[in-house]
Amino acid sequence: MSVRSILAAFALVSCLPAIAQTTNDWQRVAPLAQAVNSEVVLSKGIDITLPLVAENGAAVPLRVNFDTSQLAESEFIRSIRVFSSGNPNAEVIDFHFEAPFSRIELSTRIRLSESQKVFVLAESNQGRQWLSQRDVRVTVSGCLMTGDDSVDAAVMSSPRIALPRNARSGEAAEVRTLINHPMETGFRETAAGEVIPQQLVESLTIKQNDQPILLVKFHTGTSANPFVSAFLDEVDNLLFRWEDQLGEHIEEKP
Amino acid sequence: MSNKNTNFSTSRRRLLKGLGMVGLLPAIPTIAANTSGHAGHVIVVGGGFGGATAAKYIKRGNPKIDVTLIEPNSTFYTCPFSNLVLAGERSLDSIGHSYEELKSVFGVNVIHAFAEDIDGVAHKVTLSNGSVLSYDRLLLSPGIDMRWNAIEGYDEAASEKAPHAWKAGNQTLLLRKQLEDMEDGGTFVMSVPADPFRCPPGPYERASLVAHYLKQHKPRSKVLILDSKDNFSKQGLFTSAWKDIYGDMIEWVGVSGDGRVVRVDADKREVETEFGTLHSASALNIIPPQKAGFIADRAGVTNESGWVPVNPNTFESQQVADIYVVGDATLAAPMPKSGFAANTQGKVAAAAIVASLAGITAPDPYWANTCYSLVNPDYGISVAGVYKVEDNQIITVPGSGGLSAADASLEIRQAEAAYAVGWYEAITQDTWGTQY
Ligand SMILES: Cc1cc2nc3c(=O)[nH]c(=O)nc-3n(C[C@H](O)[C@H](O)[C@H](O)COP(=O)(O)OP(=O)(O)OC[C@H]3O[C@@H](n4cnc5c(N)ncnc54)[C@H](O)[C@@H]3O)c2cc1C
Repeated sequence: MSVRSILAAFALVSCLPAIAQTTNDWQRVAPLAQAVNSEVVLSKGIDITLPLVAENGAAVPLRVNFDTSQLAESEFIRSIRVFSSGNPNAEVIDFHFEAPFSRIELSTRIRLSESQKVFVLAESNQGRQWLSQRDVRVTVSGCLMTGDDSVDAAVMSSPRIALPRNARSGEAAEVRTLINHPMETGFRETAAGEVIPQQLVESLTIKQNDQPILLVKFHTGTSANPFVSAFLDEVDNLLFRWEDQLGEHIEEKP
Repeated sequence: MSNKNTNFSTSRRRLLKGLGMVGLLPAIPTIAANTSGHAGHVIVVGGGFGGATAAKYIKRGNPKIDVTLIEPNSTFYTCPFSNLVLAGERSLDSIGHSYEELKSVFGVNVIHAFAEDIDGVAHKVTLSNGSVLSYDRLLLSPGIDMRWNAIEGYDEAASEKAPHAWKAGNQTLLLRKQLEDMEDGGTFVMSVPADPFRCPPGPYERASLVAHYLKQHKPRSKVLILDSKDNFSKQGLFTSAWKDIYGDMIEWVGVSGDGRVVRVDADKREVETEFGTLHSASALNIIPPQKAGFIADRAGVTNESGWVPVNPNTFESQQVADIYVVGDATLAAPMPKSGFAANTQGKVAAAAIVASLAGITAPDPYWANTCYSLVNPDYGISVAGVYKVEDNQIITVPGSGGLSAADASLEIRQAEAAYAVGWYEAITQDTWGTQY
C-alpha cells in the first residue's frame, strides 16, 4: 500500500512531544481556517468516532454523526469536511450533499501520518457551521512492521457496492462502497529516491434517478482503496461514478 | 511440564545470542528482607504471561510481601506454540505449564478460582468461591475477552463450532479436530480482526502451519485468510515465504478486497463479507475482535476503547489507584500484545509494586519484545523492538529492533526457527519456572 514507507518514517515523527494546545487549534490549519466563513462556529452536534490510539496510520476508521434534529425547518446539511492538523496536506475528505439527507452518518478510512487532531466541519444550506475535533495518537505497533514496499498500479478497479440486506422504505439505510486504487500521495519515494507521482481518485458521485445526491471528494488524507458509507433515504435507482486525476472514470450500479 | 526440547542451557544461550538481551531485563530492586513487620499483600489476577511473571518477580524483589495469585486453571496452556499443536507438530501437554514452582520455590499463594468483582476503593476482590480478599496492591493480567456478536452470529456458542483458538487449550483441540476431519481439497477459512488484537503476527503464522499440515496430508486443500486489514505484521516476509514453500495454497484477502467478515453461520460453516461475498469452509476459524478481560471492566480501569490506559512508568492504572494492569489488556502501543511484552511488563509492574510498598521510587523502565513466527517448523522469521518512556508515553527506541532480512538464506531461517524454540523455553521458564 502506498503509505507504508511514509509510515515507517512517521513512526519516529510521532515520538516528538505534542505541540502545546490552544483553544483555536483549527485556525492554524490553513484550509480549515479558510473554510470557516461564519463568525459563530457551533461546537456541539457533531459526533466523531476515531480510535484513541491508531496502530496503523494508513487506514484509520473514521465515523461522523451529525444530529439533524438541531436543524431548523428548511435547513439541511450541505457539506461535511474533514481536516487534519499534522498531515503534509490538511485536507482529508469532503462530503457535499446535493439534496437533504434525513440521517447524516458517514464512515470512511483516513490516513494520519502522525499523532494529531482531526477536525470535522459541517455547514448547512443556511450558512451555519459546526466544528468538532478529536485527538488521535498514531503509533506503529512493533509487530506491525510489514517489510513490504510495493508500488501498485495507479488505476481504479473492482468497484464494490453493498446495499442493506433488509432496507425498510421510509427509513434511511446504510450503503457501503469501495474502489481499489493506491491513492499515491506524491509524498513517497522509491528505494532509489525517486518521488512516486501523485495519483488519486478525485471523487465519487452517487446519483439517484440521474440526479447527483452525494459528491465525495478524496484527498491525500483519504486511505488507499477509498471506502465510504452513508445513510441514504432511498436506495433505488442508484448509480456510482468515480473519477481519477487522469480523467478516467468508472460507473457502477448496485 | 514436558517439552520436546529440554536442553535449557542451550536454548538460553540461543536466546541470548539471538537477541543480545541479557542487559535488557529491567532491574528489580531487591529489598533486603526486613526482619519484622508486614511488607504488604499483593493480589495478582491471572496466571498467564503477565500475571505469573509479576507474582514471581514481586517475590524475588521482596520475599516478605505476601503474594496471592488468582487463576481458575491449574495448567496454563500457552498461545505461543499452540499453532504447532494445531498443525500436529507438538502435543498440547508440551505447551502446558503448572503453578507448582511458583508455589513451592517462590512462596506464591495460588488460589484456583475466578475473580468476579473488584472494589478499588475498599481494596477488595471477590472470588467465584465466595471469598473476599483484601489487598494493598492489585495486579491484573487477565488477557483478552472476545467481543461476542461484534460479528453477526458469532457468540460463545458459535465458537464451539467455529473455534477462535485464540486462547489455547480446548479451543486449540476443537480447531485441530476440524482440520483433521477436513477432506482433501477442502478450504480452511480464517477470519482476522482489525488492530488492535492479541498477537499481530499470530494469524499468519497459523495460516503457515496449517498449510504445512495440509501440504503433507491434504495437498489439494486451500487456506483462505479473510482479513479486516490491508496490511499485516511481517507481510512481505510471510507473503514471499508462502509462495516459495506453499505455492498458491494460501490466499490472503485484505479489507479492500472484500476480506472483512460481517456475518458467520457456524452451523453451515459459512461466512459473509462486507460486500456480500459468501465463503463456505471445511474448517472455520473465526478470530473475533477483542477487548480487555472482563475483570478489568469490573475494576473500572478500562476506557471507552475497551482496553486499559496505564501510567507507562509503572503500569499502574490511570483511573484507579493501587491497581496495576499488564499484558494484552493494556493500551501499551507501540508495544504489541505479545507474551514477551506481557512478561517484561509484568517485571516492570513488579518492580514498581515492590518499590511503592517499600516507599521508594521505581527504577526507569524499558522493555524488549521479539515476535518469532514459524512459516514451517524449520523456517522462522522475527520482528523485534526495544521500548522506553519519553514524555510519559511508551516509544520505540529509535534504531532498535527490526525485521528479519528479506533476502536471508535458508540457514538463517532455520536458525531463527531454532531461536524461536529457545525463546519459548526461556520465556516459559522465566514466567512459570525456576530455571533462570
Ligand atoms: C496463536 C497465538 C500465538 C501466539 N504466539 C506468540 C508468540 O510467539 N510470542 C509472543 O510473545 N506472544 C504470542 N502470542 C500472544 C500471547 O499469547 C499473549 O500476548 C499473552 O498470553 C498475553 O499475556 P497476558 O498475561 O496478558 O494474558 P494471558 O497469558 O492470556 O493470561 C491471562 C490469564 O488470566 C486468567 N484470567 C482471566 N480473567 C480472570 C479472572 N477474572 N480471574 C482469574 N483469572 C483470570 C486467564 O485464565 C489466563 O490464565 C500468541 C497468541 C496467539 C493467540
